[in-house]
Amino acid sequence: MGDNFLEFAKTGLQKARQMGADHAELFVVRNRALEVEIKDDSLDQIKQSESQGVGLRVIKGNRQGFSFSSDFRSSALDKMVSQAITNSSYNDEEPALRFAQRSARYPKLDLFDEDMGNHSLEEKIDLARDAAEYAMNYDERVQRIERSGYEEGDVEMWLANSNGVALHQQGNYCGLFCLAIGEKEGEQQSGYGMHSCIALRELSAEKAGRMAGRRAVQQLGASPVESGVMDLVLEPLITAQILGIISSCFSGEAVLKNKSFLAGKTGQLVASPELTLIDDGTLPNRLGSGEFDGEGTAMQRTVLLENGILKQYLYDCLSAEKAGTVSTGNGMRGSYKGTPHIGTSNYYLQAGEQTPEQLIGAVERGIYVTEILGAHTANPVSGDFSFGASGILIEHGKFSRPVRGITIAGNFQQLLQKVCGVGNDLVFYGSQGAPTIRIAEISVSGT
Amino acid sequence: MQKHELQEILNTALRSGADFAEIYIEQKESTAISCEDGKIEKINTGIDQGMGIRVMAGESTSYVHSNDVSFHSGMEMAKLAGQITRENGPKETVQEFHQPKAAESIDVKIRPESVEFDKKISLLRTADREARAMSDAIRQVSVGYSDVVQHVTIANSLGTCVEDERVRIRLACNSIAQRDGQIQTGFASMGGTCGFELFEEKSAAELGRESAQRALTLLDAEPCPAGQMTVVLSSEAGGTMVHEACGHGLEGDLVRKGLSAYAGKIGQKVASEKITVVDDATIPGKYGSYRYDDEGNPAQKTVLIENGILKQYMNDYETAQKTGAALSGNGRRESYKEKPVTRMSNTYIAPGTDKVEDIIASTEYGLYVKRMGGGQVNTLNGDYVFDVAEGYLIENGKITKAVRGATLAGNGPESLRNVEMVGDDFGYAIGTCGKNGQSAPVADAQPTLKIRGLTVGGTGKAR
Repeated sequence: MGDNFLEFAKTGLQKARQMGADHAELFVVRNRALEVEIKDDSLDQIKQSESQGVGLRVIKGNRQGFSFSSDFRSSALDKMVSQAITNSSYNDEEPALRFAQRSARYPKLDLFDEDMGNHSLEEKIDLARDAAEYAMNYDERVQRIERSGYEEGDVEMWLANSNGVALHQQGNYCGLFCLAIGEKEGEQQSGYGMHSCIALRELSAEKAGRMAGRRAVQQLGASPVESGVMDLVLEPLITAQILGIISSCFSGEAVLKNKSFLAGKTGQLVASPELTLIDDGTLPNRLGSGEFDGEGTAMQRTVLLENGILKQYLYDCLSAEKAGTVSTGNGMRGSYKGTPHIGTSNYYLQAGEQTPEQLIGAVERGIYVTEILGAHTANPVSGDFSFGASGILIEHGKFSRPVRGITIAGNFQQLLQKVCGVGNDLVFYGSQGAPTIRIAEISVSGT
Repeated sequence: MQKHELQEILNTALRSGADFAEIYIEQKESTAISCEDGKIEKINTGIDQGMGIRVMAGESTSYVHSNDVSFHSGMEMAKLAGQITRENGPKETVQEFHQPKAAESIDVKIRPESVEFDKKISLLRTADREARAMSDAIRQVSVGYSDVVQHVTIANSLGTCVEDERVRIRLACNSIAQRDGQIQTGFASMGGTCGFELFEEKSAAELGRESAQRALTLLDAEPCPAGQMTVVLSSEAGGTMVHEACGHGLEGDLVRKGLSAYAGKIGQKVASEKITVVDDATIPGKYGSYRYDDEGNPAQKTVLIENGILKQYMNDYETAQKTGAALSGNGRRESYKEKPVTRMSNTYIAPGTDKVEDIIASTEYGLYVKRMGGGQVNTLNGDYVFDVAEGYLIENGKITKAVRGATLAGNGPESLRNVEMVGDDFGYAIGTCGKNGQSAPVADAQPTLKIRGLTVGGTGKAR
């Protein structure tokens, strides 16, 4: 593609206009990925891939049409254009449909680590070995490493539309993952650990390995606990997981369609004043960063909650037009095979001032939650949730014993209000980040 | 691609001494339509194609994939994938190709590509309209339709060469009801490995009404009481229970890796003698059905647990090869981008002999689960959790008021041992199962079941 993209885009957009489109947009993406996994110190699997394709959106008579192709030959592209035009005729009219205008300023970000390609496969496999070793050495109860692996990928994308937008960006990432098995008196637990980043030199086998080791042993010997109302302390991974579920509630589209419990509440205190939640696609060296989104709008920093007050929703071009505002650069697109949809970039809860130890120390009786099951079944529309959970019982400010087989139920609206402490230990898992938090008085169901 | 080209690619992959090589070529023609806010909003049609090459040598596997399906690309991929193998291993060559016999062909009566687009659109509009017509409290409705015609060519170095086609259709409706500040959602879906004849069984209108009714029922429901109680799962509830509580634990890859609570227990009693569990990909038309699995092996009916005794695990080529067990046709993959993993097709608990009325009448106090939602299991220890989408209390042997926000938590092997009664009825539900980051269409089914001592999570006051 490269230099040829402008030529390709010009031809493609022209073709779409000739066939009747009022507006057109081309999105080309090329992916390369590598994944290696070791087991018992030897190579278990290696996976390599490459793909590229193009997606075309058209607007004709206020109707959107879309089609895609992985075949770049001219006959296939003709078919794609006519298919997009045909599809548009079946869609209902939507006068607010717009393609992006050129943003005044695009962030300058360095999201491509040139150095990654200079390292051999053997070095990358060694990193996975190191992660496994850190996990094994974490605790003597870590009995074996089920698998450990390294992955990397790079993504290059081009976007052009009939408003004169023509953009290109390239980024890569690498990651380590490890699954450790802990055992004590015949009982086994598995623990997953990971670390991912943009620059290979920052990739930490220690972080991934120690996380797997810790999670493989901390639940060993767990038993149920009596039902009751108690405080919860969520470890950063769990905080991030829960915030991930409610991320769709900040979608401007969900709000317009009455599918969010946060609809109509901007300017109101919807959460504890301890909470400041941010979406920022311009952070250096983060996996969710980019110069432009899947529509060609500049990525930006958007404060969603500030000291508990709902400040802003996330928008793509269509939902912004409908809501009478401008896109926040959150029209995300993962593949050439689909149209943009609202999503987060780097989505994180700002760190507070207390250490995790202080948060735990303040709890008389409660649970330090280390795992939730069934997170995907929570309902972001009503806000109701009910998770299976396990963790560690806290008594008099100290860990007493691991617990499992409990369920935690409630509503996110209340949960957000009940946060009474935010830790200073912000951790990113991919593009989502969170610190430890403490939540007061949640109903926990056990025996 | 021509057969001799497939052979050449496989021979290239085997050149440096691999034990096994396989080509998977896929062409997937799909249509997806969504209706949101009463409008046809997104239509996505396209052809996605790609090829994956798998090479196994000793304990190592190499997988390379690309969306370029030309012979030239295949040769390049085969060279790359073949690199993992030992330089001086024995040189294998491809066996002569043959297509293994499948049990029976899956009959598609009305092919989706033969159906006019307007007819597909009207399905969504009908479901939307009917859902909204149920009550003023229905504030939002989303309907999604998809059809997929997938052609696969699977060839491997053992000589298996299969061409197959899978046609699948799905329609789903989500309704949101709102009253007095309360918001509730109701979901309903239908689907099959079949054509448009799916809608002869049940109409889009019925589906829309069903989803709205579920949301409305929840508006009137009280928070579910928490604590340990007896649970009756209706046959309409769907099969999340069989899927999560035991299905995943019986998948050969998890068993082999020692990641299953059922590992090493063949021949042992692992459930109440009233329990028989079967995985069957050959049932005509069901959402998890297929003729051949994604390794080209014929689909099968496999009895996993019979009268409480563990008989067999599900297997794919790799697990069968490494454990000496028989293939069961359970090697499935999401697309050409993934190597196959062992997974379920249509999984069910077989009907028993208890009358449904007797099951309810015998329950003094408990939770009646009319419909289950999603779930998740930790296969290593068997702990599972699932969401109750529609539930009612049972008091003094009668179904009484609706409850919302309930979750069931339990342990798979323990719950199957605690099954007290098994109904003589039977009901299916469709689902999308996630495993190793891959999703696959499945169906689950069960009769009415009575299980004692499950942990019910909820926000209501315990009795």
